[in-house]
Amino acid sequence: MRFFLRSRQFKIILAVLCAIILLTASFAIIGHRMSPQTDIASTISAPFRSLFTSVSNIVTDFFQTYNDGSELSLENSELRAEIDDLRNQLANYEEMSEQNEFYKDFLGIKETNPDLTFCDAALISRDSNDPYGSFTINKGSLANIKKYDPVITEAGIVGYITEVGLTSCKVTTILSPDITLGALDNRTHDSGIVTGNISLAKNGYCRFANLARSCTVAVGDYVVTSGEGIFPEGLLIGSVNNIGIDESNNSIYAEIKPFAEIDELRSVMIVTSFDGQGGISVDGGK
Amino acid sequence: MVVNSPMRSPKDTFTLRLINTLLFTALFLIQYNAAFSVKIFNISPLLPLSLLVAIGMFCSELRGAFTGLVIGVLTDAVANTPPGFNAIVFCFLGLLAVLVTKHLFNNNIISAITLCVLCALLYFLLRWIFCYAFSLSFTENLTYIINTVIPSCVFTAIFIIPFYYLEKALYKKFY
Repeated sequence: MRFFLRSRQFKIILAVLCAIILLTASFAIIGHRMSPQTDIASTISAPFRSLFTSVSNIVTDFFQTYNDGSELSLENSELRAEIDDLRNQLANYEEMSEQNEFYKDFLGIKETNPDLTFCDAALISRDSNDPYGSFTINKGSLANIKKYDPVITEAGIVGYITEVGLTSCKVTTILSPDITLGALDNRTHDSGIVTGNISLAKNGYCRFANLARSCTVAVGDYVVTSGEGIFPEGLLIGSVNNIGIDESNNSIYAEIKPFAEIDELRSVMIVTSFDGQGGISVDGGK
Repeated sequence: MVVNSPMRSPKDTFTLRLINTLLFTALFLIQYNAAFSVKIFNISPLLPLSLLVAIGMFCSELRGAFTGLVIGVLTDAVANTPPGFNAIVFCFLGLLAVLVTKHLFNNNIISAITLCVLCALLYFLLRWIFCYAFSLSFTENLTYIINTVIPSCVFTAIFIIPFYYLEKALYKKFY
């Protein structure tokens, strides 16, 4: 071992490691972007990752369809029973209709938010060891994507861009505690912050925290962005699934099921610009 | 048994490196693709680390560190970790695998499994410290270590069994 520590090999390894630390630190801290070696590796591997993911998606879809076929007869009988239930539920049609109208409004995000500029992207890799479901997309600074750009789908908010390379970038999801965004209960207008939590992330939920004790948030309410921070106003986040009391500060919190199915995502939209963007830094919210 | 005998021919060396590169590429794509993940009970192994340890048991220090570095740089492009984290840690683990095999352990399957558990434990603990430890409460940290870190290490170590025998056969044939 002593001989190795004095050897030329060890000095080479040490020099390479020092170079990597210096390069990474200078690019990440000063340049706010991927280090050059990571960027090169990402650019080279992106087409392979993209191709592999596309092929995997096709194979997954094929087997899904095959499985669906064998389950069709079973589903058919179940559906007949469901039809009877649905007839009874017609009484609630009015309420459901109102909810649908509300949801449809948000589906046309572009129509209701004409100031938003989008860039669509596909997922090319996912970090399976990350409990918060972070992933990489196939667009980078060449497509005018910047750090902290919001990432959404037609269903709702997904997260934001945390690291930008030339042709790819990393996305941190709303399940992560690194994210803190201002939010409102759409029905009661109670305000709070949405953030992630490791125990909730396991089930695909996040937390609507810091709600006043006098709030009237209820299960089933929709939560939308308030426009404070890096996200534009009025984007859907999710629906309230459970309500509790935070013993640390006696405030109310709600568990939210995000509308965007983060585990099932294949493509996303990045909001590259909107009115009021960059007004508040994300670091300030942490 | 550390194989340090002279190479047979440049062609054999090239073939060995090509096979290992293809193996790493396949494992990297499987590990980090967006369509599916290798998970059991929500626990994911770190497949490239298993192969790195298996290779580290047969190669030189410089090659072990360099292989780790390349895998680390690639992993940095996709993993949600601080910039450069994987490059440094994988480089260190590649070197560690070689040094431990040469100076501390025998080169057999038991050593391979033990070494893989140790390397995986080191990787996941470092990742926990740098990425999650300070944003979680004590209970959450403990839960994460027990429910995620330890099972992931065990799961990762399972994969070294085929990789160890594969690398042993490859180095026997080409070295």
